[in-house]
Amino acid sequence: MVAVSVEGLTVRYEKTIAVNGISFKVNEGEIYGLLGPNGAGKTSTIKAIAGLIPYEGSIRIFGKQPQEAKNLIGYVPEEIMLFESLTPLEFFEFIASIRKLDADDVNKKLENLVSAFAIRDYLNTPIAALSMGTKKKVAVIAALLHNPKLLILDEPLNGLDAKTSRILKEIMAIHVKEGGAIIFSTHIMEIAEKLCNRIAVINEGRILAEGSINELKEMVLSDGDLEDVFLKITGQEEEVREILNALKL
Amino acid sequence: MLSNFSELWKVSGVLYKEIVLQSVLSRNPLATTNRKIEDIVKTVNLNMWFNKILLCIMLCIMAIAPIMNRSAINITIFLAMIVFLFIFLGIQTVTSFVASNFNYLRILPLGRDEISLVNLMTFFRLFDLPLVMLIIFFPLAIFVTTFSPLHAILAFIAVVVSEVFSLAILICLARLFHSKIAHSTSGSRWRGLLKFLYIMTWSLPAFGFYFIARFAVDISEISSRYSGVISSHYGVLSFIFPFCFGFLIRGSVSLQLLGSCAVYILLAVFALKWLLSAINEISSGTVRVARDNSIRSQNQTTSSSSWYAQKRSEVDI
Repeated sequence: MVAVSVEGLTVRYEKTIAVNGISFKVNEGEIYGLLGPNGAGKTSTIKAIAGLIPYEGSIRIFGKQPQEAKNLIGYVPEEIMLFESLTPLEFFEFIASIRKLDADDVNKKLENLVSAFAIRDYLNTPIAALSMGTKKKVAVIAALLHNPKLLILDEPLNGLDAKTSRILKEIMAIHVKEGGAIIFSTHIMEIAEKLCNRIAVINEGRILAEGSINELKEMVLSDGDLEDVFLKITGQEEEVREILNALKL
Repeated sequence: MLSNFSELWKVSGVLYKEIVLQSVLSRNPLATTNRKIEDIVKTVNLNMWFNKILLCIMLCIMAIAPIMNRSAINITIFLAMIVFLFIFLGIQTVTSFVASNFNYLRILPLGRDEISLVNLMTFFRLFDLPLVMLIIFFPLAIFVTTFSPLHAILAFIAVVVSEVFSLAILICLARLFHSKIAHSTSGSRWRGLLKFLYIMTWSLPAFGFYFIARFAVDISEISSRYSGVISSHYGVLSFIFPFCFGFLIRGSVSLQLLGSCAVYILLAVFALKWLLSAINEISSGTVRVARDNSIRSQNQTTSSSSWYAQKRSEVDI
């Protein structure tokens, strides 16, 4: 079943077009990667799907519009936005009360996630006093608290240590195994190669290529890694070569 | 609906605390190095209540003269002081309110109308005590001293109009500071001057407290001295806010006075509508941040003396 359907999505910031009429589908049980350089339009695409910014075109999340599907979405933004005056515990209680979650369910889930992400010592410390990595962990736990069917993760592994990254990757794997879907943006090729079932290569607001890793390799007749494939698709291979030559002073 | 309203009120409490904290941190970025941030968070609510109570006390002190001696100049000064105090004591927190990031609320299952309402409640929380205190206290005091319901109603209208004007000017200034200056990184001289004015306006609350405490008696003396002058210029001043309300509450009645008061009431209604739409814009995330062609200038390096560079970076907010 299709979890997310995006048709002709366009995102404008005044005169700038950040996303230019892109279309794709994400199925249940699938990790769909948005891969592209900085400023390619990944975050704008993700924000539109999360219902945070106005857009043109059509987005359906399990058949619903983003505004109506907020209970189905767990979103971890690239720039962490939390209420810094609260402690993580107060923040989770705040989220649970707005989402009207059952207290017992939340406590059980929270117990597991707090242990997994090792933030028990910080539960009563104001978020303002936490490190960036710990803030990210809090944001991830808050996104998982209501068992969302769709996880939208914008560069989720940035700022996380190796152990936490591994745990988050496992959580993602379990999520899709249980029938959930994940939209995941990154500019790190190795992560995309390891995690994603299908990848869309985005540049300048357009999808240049889409498919599994093998399909993308076939597309550009490359037997290299995803980085080679990406550079070929985005036409940056020659540019990189020239830069490297220039650096050989 | 009532339970929903009370839930939204609780949500606005969280946002309010967040805005006050951000305001404290932006006012003094070094606070986090000098004190443990936990202590700042713990005392943030207490400090805000202290400020509100202080504002109430100052307004009460300012209200003594117009209540005891209901002269036009006393009432006029009092109404002007309402606008002045709200603007200069509220500019820091309201700038933080305008700059606040409500994106997290938009992730949660809250409708647009609910987010707007939360935002409005949060804004109200910034001034709740002084706003309500003024609306009740001043008309009541006028009623007690005059036994005239009409004068009490006029005092009520005058206070409401003054409050609406001050809040509208506050939001306007905060948006200007936020969009054109505080978030701008370009280094033009004009922008530098605006930034300097911004710093001055932000630091005025400290002077404001001193000013009121030091010159309260002088203001009252000046007002009694110039009472005659004000009356002699009745024709012109009756067109000007807040003189028109001063004359009206004093008991003067003329067609031009009633006309100008009606115009200011109408203006206050428009200002209130604008205020609500501005707050709605903030909650929908459509407040524009600075747009400038600063990217090019950021990438250019110029050599200057270390002293000059340091001073420039200190002035840069």
